[in-house]
Order: sequence, then C-alpha cells, then structure tokens
Amino acid sequence: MRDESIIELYFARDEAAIEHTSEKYGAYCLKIAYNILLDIFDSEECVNDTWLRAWGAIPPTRPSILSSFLGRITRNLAIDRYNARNAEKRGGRVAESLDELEECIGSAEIEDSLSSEELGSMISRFLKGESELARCIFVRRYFYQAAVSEIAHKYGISVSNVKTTLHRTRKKLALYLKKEGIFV
Amino acid sequence: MKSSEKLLAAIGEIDDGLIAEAERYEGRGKVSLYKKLSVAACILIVSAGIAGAARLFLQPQFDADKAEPPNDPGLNDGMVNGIESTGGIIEMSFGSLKQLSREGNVYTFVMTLYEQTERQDITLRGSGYDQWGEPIFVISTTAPFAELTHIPVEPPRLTVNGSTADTLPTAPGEYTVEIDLSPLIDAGYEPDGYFVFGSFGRISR
Repeated sequence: MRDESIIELYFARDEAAIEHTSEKYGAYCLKIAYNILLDIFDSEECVNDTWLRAWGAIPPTRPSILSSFLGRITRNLAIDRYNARNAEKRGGRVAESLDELEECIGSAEIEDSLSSEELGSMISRFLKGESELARCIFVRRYFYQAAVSEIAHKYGISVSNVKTTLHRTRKKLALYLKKEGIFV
Repeated sequence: MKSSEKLLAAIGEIDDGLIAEAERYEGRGKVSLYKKLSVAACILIVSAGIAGAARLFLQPQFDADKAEPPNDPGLNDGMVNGIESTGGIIEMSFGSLKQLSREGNVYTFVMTLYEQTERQDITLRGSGYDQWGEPIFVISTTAPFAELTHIPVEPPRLTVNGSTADTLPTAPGEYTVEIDLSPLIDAGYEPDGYFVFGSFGRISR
C-alpha cells in the first residue's frame, strides 16, 4: 500500500493503518531498534511502541516521508530504552557513537537553552553542505547507528574510508557548531 | 546531559529527507552486478589462458610418490560436516546426528549426545528485498543473538521428543528432534541452501 493511503487510514482513525505500517515498515524499524539495543525482544517492544506513538501523532501530524517519520520515532524510543537500561554501564553502538562525538567536541558545553530540534536543524543545514557520500555515511552511523563495516558494505567502500570520512565530517561539524556559537 | 549526548539526541531530529536519502543511497563506488560479472569473466578467461600456456610450456612431470590421495567425495561433498539428504549421518566426538526424514520444510533427526555439550542452535539465513527494492538479509535462529548484519525474523519451530522446545537439549542422551523451517520461508524470504544444526554443522535443504 502507498504511504499516502496508509496516512489516510490514520486520519480516518482506521486501525488497519497500524497493520499496514507494520507490514511495510516493520523490518526497517526493527533493524534501527536492533542496531541500538542489540536485543531482539527489546527491539520488538520498541517497534510496537513506535506504532502506538505514530497512532497518537497522526493526525494532526501529516508526515512528509513516512519511513523517516517512523524511523525517527523508533530511533528515539530505542535510545531512551538504551539509556534506561544502561544507566550504570555503557556499551554497544550507542556508546561508540557517543565516544566518537565526544572526541570531536571535546569538553565544550552546548548551550542549555538550545532545544534538540534547533540543534537538529543546524546539523541538517551543515550536512546539506557536505558531499552526498559524507552526509549519508554520517546519517547511517549516528542516526541509524549502523556499524562501520555495515556502512562500508552498503556503500561499496572500504572500512578505513568510512572511518576517515566520519572523522573529517565530525571535525567539520564541530567547527561549524563553534562558528554558530552553540558552545558556552 | 553531556554535550555528546545532546548532539546524539539532536541527530535524531535531522530532516526527514536526509534520513530517507541515507537509506536509499547506493554509494558511488558500488559496482553493479553486471560489471562484477564482466570483470569476473575477464579474469577467468585470462587465468585460463595463463594456465593453458603454463601447461603447454612447462610440461610438469607426474610424480606418483609425491601425489596426494584424493579427497573422499562421499563424506562431506564440499560441505563443512554436512548431511545431504535423508539417511545421512554426522559423527562427532560429542555425539551423532542422523536425518530420519524430510516433509516439506519439516526435518526430523535423531540426535545422540555422548556428553554434556554447550548450547546448540538451529539457524537458517535468507534474503529478500525491502520496500525500496534494496536487498536485505534475514536470519531465523533459536539463538538469542542474531548476526548483526541480518534482520532477525521468527525462529524455526523446534520439537524435542514430541514436545515444543526453544532450544536443543545439551545433556547426554538420545533425542528425536523435529525442525520446522517454515517461519522464514512463509515470510516470503529466499532461504539459503542449507541450515546450521549447532556444532554438527550444515544440513542441506
């Protein structure tokens, strides 16, 4: 079923919307959750929560790209679940990502008044100025939480190429954010 | 919240277009299957030419004393361990496995364990396409952790001595094990030509 038709079902409050969403995007969302949680049972729960969250959000929200809308919900729910589960000990891909991001911004503090949405918009603007390959690698690594080897395989490049590109993009992002004055 | 955590949270709020683009992007360096096959064919032709020339000019002498005995083709037939069909047996130091029958996607074995073993799992991999026509790889396994590069799907159904089970037994004894591989196949994925039966190795489908 086309995304527009699925969204219409949500607007008509027809529960078949969830069934069609699950059928079309179940594997996609499960992969995102699994990348973060590395646990199939937690990932499945997270995906089920995604359907509930989508049901609550549409309407009034009308997603422009349904897959991205659902992927974002899954990713953010999975990270919340990861944080709750790993309050004391860190591990897995999220911890790797945090270490990589920490390495690029160092001890600089981000202004408290800045919301995630505002910072997200800035990061989007920065990424749009980067090459297609660099921004796709960045998004796959830090949005989808994909392993470096998985990115290399998907994009047909070497692991070291992915690592180098990520390193350069992170450094440029840190510089961009500094210029935008987001660091205290 | 640390700055890196704020940054990671903010990446969750980037534009929908960027998220979709990264999922669809094929990569500049990715070589099409057609090109890969063409290159492989060229390499094969050149290799065959070199081998033919070498044979023609070098004329190696056969030395019966140094010749190695041929591999036993009947034992594994190119597989690591492996059962090719009903009646096949795998003998290992810790136990043996005999395939009794196969009906559709349901396989029946007699598994005899001589000693306590570590956890054994049944694993079947498969492939298919996602909603954008991108190839995806899935795994149906009784193991608690699937390979990260494969999307986990429902595990195979397992029956041990007539009772439904989640895992294979590990204590010494003789067991009748029935394995139903339907979940992955019914979900519309193309299964590999074999599945893995714990440490016993591959079983041909």
